Amino acid sequence: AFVENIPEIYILSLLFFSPHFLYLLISVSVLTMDPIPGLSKLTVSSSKKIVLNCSDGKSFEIDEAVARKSKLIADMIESGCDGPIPLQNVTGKTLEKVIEYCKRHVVEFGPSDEDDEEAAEKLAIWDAEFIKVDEETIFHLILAANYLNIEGLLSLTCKTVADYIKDKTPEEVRQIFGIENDYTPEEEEAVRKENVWAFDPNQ
Amino acid sequence: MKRCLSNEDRINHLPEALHLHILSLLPTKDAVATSALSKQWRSLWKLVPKLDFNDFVYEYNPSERDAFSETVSKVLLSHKSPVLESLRIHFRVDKSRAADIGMWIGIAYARHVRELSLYFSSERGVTNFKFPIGMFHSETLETLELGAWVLVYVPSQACLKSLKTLRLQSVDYKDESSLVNLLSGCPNLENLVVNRDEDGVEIFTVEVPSLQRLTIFDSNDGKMAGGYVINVPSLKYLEIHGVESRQCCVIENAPELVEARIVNVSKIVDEKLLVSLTSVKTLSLALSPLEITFPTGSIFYQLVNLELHTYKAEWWNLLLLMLDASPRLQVLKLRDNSCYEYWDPSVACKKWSQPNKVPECLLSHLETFVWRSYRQRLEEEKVVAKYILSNAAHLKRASFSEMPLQERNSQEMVVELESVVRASDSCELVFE
Repeated sequence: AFVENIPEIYILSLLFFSPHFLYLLISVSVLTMDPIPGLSKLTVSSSKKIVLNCSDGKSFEIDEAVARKSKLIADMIESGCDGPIPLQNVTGKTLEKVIEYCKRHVVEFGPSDEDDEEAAEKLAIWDAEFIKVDEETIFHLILAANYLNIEGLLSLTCKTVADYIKDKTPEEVRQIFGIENDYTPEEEEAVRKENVWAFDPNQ
Repeated sequence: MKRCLSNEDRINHLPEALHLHILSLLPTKDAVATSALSKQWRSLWKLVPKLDFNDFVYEYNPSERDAFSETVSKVLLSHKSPVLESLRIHFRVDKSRAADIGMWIGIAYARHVRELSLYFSSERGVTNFKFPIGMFHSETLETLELGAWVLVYVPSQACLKSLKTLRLQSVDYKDESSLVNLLSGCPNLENLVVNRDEDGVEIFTVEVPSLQRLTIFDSNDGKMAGGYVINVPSLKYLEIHGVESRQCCVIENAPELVEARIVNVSKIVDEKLLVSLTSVKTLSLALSPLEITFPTGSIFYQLVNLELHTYKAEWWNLLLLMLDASPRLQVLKLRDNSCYEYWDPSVACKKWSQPNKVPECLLSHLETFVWRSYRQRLEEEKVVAKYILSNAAHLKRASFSEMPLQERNSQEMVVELESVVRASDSCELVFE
């Protein structure tokens, strides 16, 4: 908080005159994980841009903090990957949606006049709107979230699919997902008998 | 969701691990029903590492209860996943099911279960169903939830080395030593949530060196008995609801406390509650100064964020006491939860009297002032709002939210507040 209150010009002049102070500030920012305003304008890597290349040739440039929502990408950054990151398993259209999710879910520090409960509610409402997409997109998002290892997105997408399955008969589920019924009527009857309670529509 | 028009089996294109992930988000009943979808799905449900049986439907009819028990046993026995991450069983139980329950827990523990949630709503006093003693010994258990109105009997120290979260919802304790044996057997416990009323324990002792979060919901019926002794040196977050009419509530030793919420606490005979909170940065209070002892001389040195609920008698005087005691306060939130009843109008309240000296935090630190559900039910609300606006010299933003702005009353209130001469030039006034 001390640093944030000092106007940028003073920070820049201090840094110009004392390189040791610069090192001190960087170590403090690393230790406390606080972004220091003004420093990002110099060539210090605290808000880097990461370039992602998709399977269909499209390219996206995003903030490092957003990219790090993906554990896969975060690990790559940790192990020194500097240039554009190739993502063979994700198309441009899907990655655009994934980035939209990551941007909204980057944790923002600093005081706000809404408390954690309200912020969480707003986020949940945003998530519910975000996931109102067609089935094809949901499945691509599941695969992308799985590949990129984005926990929140994987939970959201899988929960949405689970909600479609819940309280539906097997016939309805097959129709929604286009699953072919390869049981003979006798086989299906036997399966249902094994666990009669699970097929009881009364519960 | 649109029906799939093409015949492409998209869900079948997902790797099996993702199928299992999706199935683990379903109640077990729906997961088992997927066995009828196709041959590929026939036994997939047996590999799902989470089981969730939640059937309060089986509440009234003993034979239906038997059927449920048999179902749970059958599923557990045919389950093939080598590791069970989570087992949740919520249903109404009685003594006759004790053997089954012992078996379920045994199977779960053999599969290295990490999360166990047993919510048996038994009938208090009638059945006195007891949790099996063996369940308090597990190397792998990380989360344990137990409820309700069943007996926790722990005759010797428990051994729950990995337990991080423990939720005790309206359970009865055989005696105080059961509670002590349970808690002392959890060397890595970080989060404890307790709901209690009359449960066989006079002095509820929480002595857990590793504990970081403690939440207590107390709903006794005002018998003026028992109390709490809380010794938690690593505690960061404390929440207490409804401790009323108790002999004592002593919080020894919580120097690391960062955030606390105290709601509806009153009539405690020997009370040093607020004194132990002086290290917090964030505090939320729903208290009346008429019902607790405010520790004079205590200073909340690090308090930055204060929330006060305005449905308590004479809340404005508590506000003043807190402002005086919090020299570094930056954010003040007032909140009127209109779902709570207001206090009995016959309770004599001292009116607001303008303090002689403006509290230091208003002069030097307060930047944000938020009032949710500002309704002006009492004259005091207007007085307080005006006092803050006209004295907070560094105020950047004042917002009054959840006002029914279409109503004429509200519009009058808005005009009145906007006409107050503000102490801070850069203050933004917001009504929503």
